[in-house]
Amino acid sequence: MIDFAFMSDTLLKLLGALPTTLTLFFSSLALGLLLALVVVAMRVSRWPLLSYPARFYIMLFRGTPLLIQMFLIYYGLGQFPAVRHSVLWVVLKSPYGCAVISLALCTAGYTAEIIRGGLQSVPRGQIEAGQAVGMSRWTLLWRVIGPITLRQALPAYSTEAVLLVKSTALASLVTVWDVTGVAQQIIQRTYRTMEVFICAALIYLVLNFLVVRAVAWVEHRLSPHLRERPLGAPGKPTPETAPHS
Amino acid sequence: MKKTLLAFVCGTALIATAVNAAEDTLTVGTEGDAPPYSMADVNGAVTGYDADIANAVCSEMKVKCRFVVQSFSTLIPSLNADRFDVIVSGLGITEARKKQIDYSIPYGGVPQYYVVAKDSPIASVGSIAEIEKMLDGKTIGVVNGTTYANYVQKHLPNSEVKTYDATTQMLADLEAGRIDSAYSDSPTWTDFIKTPGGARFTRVKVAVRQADDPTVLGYGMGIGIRKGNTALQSKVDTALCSLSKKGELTTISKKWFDEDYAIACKQ
Repeated sequence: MIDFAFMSDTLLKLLGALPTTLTLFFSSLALGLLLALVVVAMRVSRWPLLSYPARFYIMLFRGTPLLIQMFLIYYGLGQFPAVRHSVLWVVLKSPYGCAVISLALCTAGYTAEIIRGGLQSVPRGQIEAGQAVGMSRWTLLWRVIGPITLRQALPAYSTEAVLLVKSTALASLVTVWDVTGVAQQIIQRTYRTMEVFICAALIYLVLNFLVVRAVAWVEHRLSPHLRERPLGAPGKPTPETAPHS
Repeated sequence: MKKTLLAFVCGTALIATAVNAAEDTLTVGTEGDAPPYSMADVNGAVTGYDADIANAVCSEMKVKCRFVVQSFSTLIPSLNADRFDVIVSGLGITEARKKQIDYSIPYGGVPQYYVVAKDSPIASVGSIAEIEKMLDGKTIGVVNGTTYANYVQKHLPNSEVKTYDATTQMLADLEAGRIDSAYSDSPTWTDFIKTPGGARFTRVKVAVRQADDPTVLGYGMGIGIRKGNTALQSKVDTALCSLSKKGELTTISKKWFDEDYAIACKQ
């Protein structure tokens, strides 16, 4: 029988770990996006010296499990005295730092391909039109290529963001006290797997619902031409002016 | 009609064989990543103290052992979910666990130690109270779901207790210097200190024994059995008693630990 008093108590304890999960998510999402922009710039370059390392990076991080990447960064790098005595150890010593790095590196591989897909969907005619009116490369990127790429990439990127929220749960395996880590601690003391994991799942479900809604809102803002316009708005025929069939 | 009858006979024979095979096998849940207790290889074969105890019990019961390897903290929920018949994984007999599962009679009990760097001032301290006073506030590693984790959380309330899914992960972090100390049993440290990475560490001078805090550390290691399975519990107890009287529990203990940690059967 499910004990609702225990579940509400558990939910409160798990919510205490929510800030860790959220900071993990936002830090790795931001870092991953920055890295993805660099990788995609290299990937679409005409120079093999830039495009091949980017291709290899994408293949490496999309082709290996995130858990193994996380273990290699956390447990693997810690085995080398050279790493332990370097400046990098300030970040790599902390489980949180290792979790953010591994999540960011992994999401960057996927995000780079999402952005590349968005770039490829920009109609050639739009770019030529921009060039025809004398736009510089930066203006073209900022006013034409960027917005279209963003609009095209958003649906796939929202899926990647949802996957990243769920991937933060793996951080508990490198001793980060996120929602999943705290859930495992509660189970260790109570042996009540079902109730605890139901509560944890609920938190992730709500979190992902909010992520999906946020991206949908951004999509809506970026696509005014696709919105339903009210009757009588410019360009929309009113009942009086509408042609009769 | 003949075909139907033949199919029925064959089906019945197959089911009977499967049931018979199931009855002749004892499925054992163990960690598989906790040297020298249980070490699983790539093929799923398990060796170590726990494996030898389980195999000895199986041979006494005239059944075959089949091991299921899982992380320690998932063993009790999995036993209750009927994923295996028993747990043999250095499982301490505690009151909290007795609410979840039944136990065999105890078959062994090992002393526990904190491990610190050789050059640490804690290494030379001669009282457990003093050691714990010096460690309180430091970062301590333990394996998730163990009595050791509960002990450290109780006795070092101001410490940052880091829990790991496997002993090997805890040892890797100890080597890397991410934790100041770790708490586990004597055999774990005996093995670890012999490794190149463990050579920089030492056990503290004083052991923690189960009698020091039996409510948390329990009353020795027992075989975990699903609640209410009294028939199996009785068979396992009989097997352990027989092994104890033959001196096999002592032999297994000395093989893996170089010391006799066996608990004699009182039945």
